[in-house]
Amino acid sequence: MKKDTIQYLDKNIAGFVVSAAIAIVSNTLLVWAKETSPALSAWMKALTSHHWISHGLFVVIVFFLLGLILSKSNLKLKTNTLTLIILLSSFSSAIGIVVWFILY
Amino acid sequence: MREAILLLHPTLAMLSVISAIWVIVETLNASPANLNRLKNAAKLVAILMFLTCLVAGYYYVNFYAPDKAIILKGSWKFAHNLIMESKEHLFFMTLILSFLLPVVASAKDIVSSKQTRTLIVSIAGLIVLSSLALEGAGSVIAMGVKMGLLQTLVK
Repeated sequence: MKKDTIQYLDKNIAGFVVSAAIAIVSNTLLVWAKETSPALSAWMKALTSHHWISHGLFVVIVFFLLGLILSKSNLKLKTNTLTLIILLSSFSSAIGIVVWFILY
Repeated sequence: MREAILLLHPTLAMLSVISAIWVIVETLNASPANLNRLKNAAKLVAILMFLTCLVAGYYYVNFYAPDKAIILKGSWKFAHNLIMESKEHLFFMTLILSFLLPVVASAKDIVSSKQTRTLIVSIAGLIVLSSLALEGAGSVIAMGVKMGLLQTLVK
């Protein structure tokens, strides 16, 4: 077993972890944008017949597309940093959504 | 049919949660002997959560509108305005984490690196926590419909 030295995750996998964090944060940002802009909400509804379908497709496409792009780049991130990124993005995005609907 | 779809989506989600817990157990006991099992369990999480998305999405898009109208007529308006609005968007986070899990579980250093195991357990743990929260939210929404119907009957 390796000791707790600095370890780097395979760049292909690291790319997808970063893209997941970005997709999760963009999910929350899109909620805020959609809720404040009726025009955007209407456009998303028109795009696929329901805003929720467009929203989901956007988030999933961001994840896979960014993941493919970032996994081809020379991304070098510590494994612990990636864990922190995914935990922070998930908790902050979840709080961001819930607090938004409490306040508005 | 409508009720079957309604009941199927939390069932699939719970099976996905069980698979995510399975991933955690395999990761905490990672060895060359159970790596394939770990990877297969991670793939199962992604497949089951994707199916949950399809079934839940189909219900939400096609059948939720009357439920929403009933909730908004009752005293538990927050069951839609806060709980359902949060649930329908928070789910995408759980879905992305579920897609990410098999990618991270394909790492070559799971057995040798505690940090990689921590990353896998963190992602699986987030899937479990968020899914359980969404299951709870589903119960509140069902209760919101019940409250709306009861108040309609009392009137």
